[in-house]
Amino acid sequence: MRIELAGWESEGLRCPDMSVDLRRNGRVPSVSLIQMPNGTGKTTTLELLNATLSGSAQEWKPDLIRSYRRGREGSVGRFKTNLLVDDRHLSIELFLDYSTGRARYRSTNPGSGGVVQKHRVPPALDRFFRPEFLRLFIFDGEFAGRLLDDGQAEADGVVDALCQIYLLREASSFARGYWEKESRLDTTRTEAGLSRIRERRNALVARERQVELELEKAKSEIRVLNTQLLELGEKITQRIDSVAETRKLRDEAESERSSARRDVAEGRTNLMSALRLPHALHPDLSDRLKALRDNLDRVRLPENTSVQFFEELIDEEVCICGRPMDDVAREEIRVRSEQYLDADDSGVINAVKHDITRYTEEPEDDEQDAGYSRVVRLKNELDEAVRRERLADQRVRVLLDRLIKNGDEELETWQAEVDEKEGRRKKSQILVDEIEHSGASDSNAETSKCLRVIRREIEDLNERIAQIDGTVRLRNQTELIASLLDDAGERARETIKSELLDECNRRLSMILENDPLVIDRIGDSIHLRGQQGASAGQTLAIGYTFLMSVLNRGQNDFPLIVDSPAGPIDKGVRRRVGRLLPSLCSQFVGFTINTERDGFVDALESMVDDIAYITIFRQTPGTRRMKDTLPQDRYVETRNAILVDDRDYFFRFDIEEEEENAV
Amino acid sequence: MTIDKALEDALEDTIRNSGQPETVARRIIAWVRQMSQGSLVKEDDARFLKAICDELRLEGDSED
Repeated sequence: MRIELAGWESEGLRCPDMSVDLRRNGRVPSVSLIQMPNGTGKTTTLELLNATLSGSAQEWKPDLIRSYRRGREGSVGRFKTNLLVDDRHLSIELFLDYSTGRARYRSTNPGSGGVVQKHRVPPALDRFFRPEFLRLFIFDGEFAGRLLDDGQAEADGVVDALCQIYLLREASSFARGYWEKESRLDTTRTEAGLSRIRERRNALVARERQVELELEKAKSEIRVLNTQLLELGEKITQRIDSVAETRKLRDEAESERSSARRDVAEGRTNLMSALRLPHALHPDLSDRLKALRDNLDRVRLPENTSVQFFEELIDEEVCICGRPMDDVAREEIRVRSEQYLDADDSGVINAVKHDITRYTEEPEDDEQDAGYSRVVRLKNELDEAVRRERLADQRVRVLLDRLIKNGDEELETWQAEVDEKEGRRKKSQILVDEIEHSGASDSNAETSKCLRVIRREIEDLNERIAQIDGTVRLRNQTELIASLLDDAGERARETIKSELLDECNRRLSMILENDPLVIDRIGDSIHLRGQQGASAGQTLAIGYTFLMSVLNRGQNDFPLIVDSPAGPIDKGVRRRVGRLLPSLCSQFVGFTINTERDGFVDALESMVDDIAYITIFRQTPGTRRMKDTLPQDRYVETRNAILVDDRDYFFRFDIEEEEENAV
Repeated sequence: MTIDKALEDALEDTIRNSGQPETVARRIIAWVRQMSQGSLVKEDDARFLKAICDELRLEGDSED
């Protein structure tokens, strides 16, 4: 990505009103030199450039905002920065309202979103337009000093920002955040939690197996008992039948019991069938359904299916009422048919009304019954059949008791066995019923013997385990990816620092050839070999060298904007820095004073052809005479400043001399 | 879009040393390259991440 500073505008601020366009024939030059005498507002301009790009003025306190006001002029200050991002325009304006003490922004991005009344940069630029990043390419001497300060860790920050190590950090952070987001709904996210659920599932599987065995055993016992009871029953029957008198009575009782059993089965089926009609459960239900039917809308026909019926009817010779169809009748039908047509859902209402009538109407035949009265009758019939069956059982039992009473000990033993086995069979059957029950939804699987309940819980746990297993796996995966990215970031940082160390020392040996200085190592900050601190010139030289080396290997092109680029350094160093700068960044913008020209500007000129030379000075009584020497058509005059775009003027500009002459 | 060669080398070395397949390195590098263009939304990041997860080998995974 290539970001270029195309220019800026200021109005109503403590720096002069100005509109600076750095472009020459539509192109931004490699080097732009902005010559502004001390007190013209270089630092203010750089602060406002930073604030427009970073959006930081929104956090400014009212006092700070008001400090940008020029005297008591105007109520609003405006600063606009014009950029080219991969040749596309992006403008950000900052408005400082001195009366309210508030800042607001306006962003213009023709390619993405147009004009918005806030600070907004394309997402791709977001990470670069932050204060900690902007200070790298809006560079000042203090920053160079911090590079050498142990407590600041600026060197690490520069390497991270310009060599894109932040990308690995962002990817790592996304990976960890992704798992957090994906697993937020699941409170069990650890191996320990998963183990607990697995243990519970395994315990239930063991319980399922145990209950299955119990069921198998109970059913097997019932089968055995059934056989034994059958055999005993046959023996008892034979014994009863061995006595002529009792055989006849047993035959009658058995016949009655068979008949009663058939009636019980039939009655049970009929009653169940009758109970399936809801209105038959209670007489009130039938009455309420009828009331519902009567309160529904009058019958109408669904329009989309019935309109055709009326259209065809009026073509008939005879009406459905049997009278001949004449023009009057046709017209009446055409008009009245609309009263009977309705939306399509009227078909559903009609069906409901029809069904209520069909199911709740009383049978025409008096002997027939329906609904609730039929349910009552069937229940009574079933009760009667059950009573008869019980009675027949008792009659057989009475015969048996009579024989036992008459001294048949063997029969007594058999009967005792029958009682005991029936007791066991009943117990086993209760267990079978409990195990095979459909299972209440709130049953506790840990204590329940119902297989359905246990199996349902196992199924739920299996599903949960699969889900948690996925979450745990995802965590392990994302944690591994994040740690790989972190390790790679650390490894890359060390490699880059080692390469930068060699590069910086090579450049330093050229820039400071008469004042040798060697970087010993680049840690959090830059450590010099054999000395603790450095002079202002050395510090700036190290700062340039380091930043230029990092910028040179970065994949993105940023403008390097420097306040007093050659201020504290001697002429020799200026020359060498001036020769190196153009090759190390895509755009260099230097805010200079006239005393910095010597050595620095001619060195720049020796390396590049496209240089913009701009001189800006305030209009004051002291500078009034300077207007006479301005190059024709090469200057712009604003309310309080003059901007000259001319190389010769740039070189001959000497405000001190002019002011002295004015005096 | 390229990224600093030192980043690519560091990713390749770290991932190789961790015993992960080469495809993991390739996919992570592809993701970081796309990130460097600054054009990814969260859904894109998630897609890259899932693609990397698919290639990762965790302890206990079978070799095939």
